[in-house]
Amino acid sequence: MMSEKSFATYLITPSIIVLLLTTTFPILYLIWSSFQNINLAMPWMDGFVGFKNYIEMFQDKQFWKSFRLTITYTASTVILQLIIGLGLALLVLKIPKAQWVFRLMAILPIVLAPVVVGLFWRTLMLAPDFGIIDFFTKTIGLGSFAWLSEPRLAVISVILIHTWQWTPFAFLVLLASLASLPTDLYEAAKIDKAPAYKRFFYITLPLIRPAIIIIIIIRSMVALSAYAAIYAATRGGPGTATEILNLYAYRTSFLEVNFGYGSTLAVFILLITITVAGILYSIRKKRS
Amino acid sequence: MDKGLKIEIKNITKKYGKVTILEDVNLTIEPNEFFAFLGPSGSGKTTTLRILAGLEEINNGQIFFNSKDITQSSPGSRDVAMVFQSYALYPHMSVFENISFPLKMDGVKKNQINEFVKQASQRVKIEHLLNRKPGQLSGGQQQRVALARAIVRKPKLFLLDEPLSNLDAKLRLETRVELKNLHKSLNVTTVYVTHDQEEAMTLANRIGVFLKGKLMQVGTPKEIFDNPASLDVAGFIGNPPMNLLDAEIVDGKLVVEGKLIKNYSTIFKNKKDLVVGIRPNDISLGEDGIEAKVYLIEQLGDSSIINLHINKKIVKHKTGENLTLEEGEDVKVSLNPDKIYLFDKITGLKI
Repeated sequence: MMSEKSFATYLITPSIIVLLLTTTFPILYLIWSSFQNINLAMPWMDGFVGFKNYIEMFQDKQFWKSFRLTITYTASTVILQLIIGLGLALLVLKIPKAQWVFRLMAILPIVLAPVVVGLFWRTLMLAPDFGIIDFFTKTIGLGSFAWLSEPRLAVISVILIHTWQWTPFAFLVLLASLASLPTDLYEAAKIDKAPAYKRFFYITLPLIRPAIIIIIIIRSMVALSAYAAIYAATRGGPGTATEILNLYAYRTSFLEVNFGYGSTLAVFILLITITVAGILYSIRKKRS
Repeated sequence: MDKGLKIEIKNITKKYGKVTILEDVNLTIEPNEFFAFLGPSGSGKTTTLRILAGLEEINNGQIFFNSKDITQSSPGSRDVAMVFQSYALYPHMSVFENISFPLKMDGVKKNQINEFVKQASQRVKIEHLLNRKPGQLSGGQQQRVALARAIVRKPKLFLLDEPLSNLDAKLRLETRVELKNLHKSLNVTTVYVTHDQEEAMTLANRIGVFLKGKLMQVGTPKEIFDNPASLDVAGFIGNPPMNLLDAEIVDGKLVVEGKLIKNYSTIFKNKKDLVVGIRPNDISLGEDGIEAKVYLIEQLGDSSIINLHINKKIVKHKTGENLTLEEGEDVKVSLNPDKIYLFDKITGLKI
């Protein structure tokens, strides 16, 4: 007879091996690569270089530009998703019947692959003259815009694309959270002479804070690792206007075939992602 | 001294869709009175309380606070305080923040808030709990916080929705006494919803009995107990409530189950469709009377309730005597002729 413990060990061993091979090993290899010179264009230079790639990175203007863009992209998409999601959730909560229609509609963008979303926005929505958004701005008299080929507009566009796809997630989580709030608290607050906006700030917001923090954590992680939608919509362009760190690392590694420096950028992304997650989780723990 | 709040409820009707929850309720509650709404679940008592608070809209009728029509006023403008059955404490706020919330919303100054919260919390003996969160308190402590939050603003009217129902039996008795004292010292009009007759009887100056969405009877506890106006009230009040047995008057004689109870010639000579009501302790077992079978004996310690079968109907007999009866035994039951109530079976009214 096999003991329960050894049986369990047999059961989980395959998955641990798969995890080691697919996650742990590549990450270790990535970190190792970041201390190497691996450049397919100049293979004779390959070899261990210590922190040279890191020093180079901090002196790289494009790195700083992409870093700032990544922060802007992450912060603005998360904030927009939260505000719009909360607004929609509060609105839908007031609808007495057929809330499921809105829940169903909300799921649609989430289930689309980001690359499809990027392409769909690039062609159907934002294409000058033919796109729906452009049609709309022309109709209300604002004229036609080069949504994806003018640098500033392109940044706004990729932020909007990400927000469009993922706001429904925040909406669904907040709607569930709001729906679970006890009604008697609001009645008590009404009797206690709290007007609607005070009921929102003193009761609703504090009570849904756990949901808000979870949304910030999950959405920040996803925004920091965003790639496909931007790649499909702009390829980081025009120029490097929408080249967030992920795209910069991709370009360095696979277009310029400078794997050593590309790995360094990827390790840096990994570090900020872990740091941001750590900070947010500690906030969550402290509050609860 | 400030004159208290007088409440007049006129012709209130409340419907949810096609279902009538409250039907034509009329009631006047005097200033500083402790008034209890008594009734089983679904009788409309809580709905009436919520209407007074402004939390429910009504389909018909008017409410006056000191002769002022407040039917359409918002809950906040009515200057009432309510203790919810669930207490409805704000879970993310400390006890201090909970109690101070109505003051803060009312725009009271900070140093005054501290003073008022201190007074209110001392009054209900929770001044040592001010920094805790509701989740860290016992049910009884939460109930006191809810009370403190209600009294801190010194409102004109207290609404209490089954405030003791979530407490254990012992605590319920203690808190009941404190509530009574609290009302005495604050002297504010109080409306108290309960399904517990004993609570209503001991606490209230007057009781309104709600049954099936109607206000059946209003009176002092003694009036309601001694003089139930209808069959419905008689079948609800008392623990256990009155026994109700079919009866008729034949040639001026009141007859129940074929047995003569007493002469009743003064009002009717002959009348069918009557109901005799008799309290469980006004029944006696003896040699002569209506035939019955002992069905079940409930021991209460100082007394016992004997459930008897009379013609397939259960009749309860409450006695302090130590009877050596056995379940299944045949007995004879007599009703104390001076203690019977007579009702008209068709109209349900007392005769």
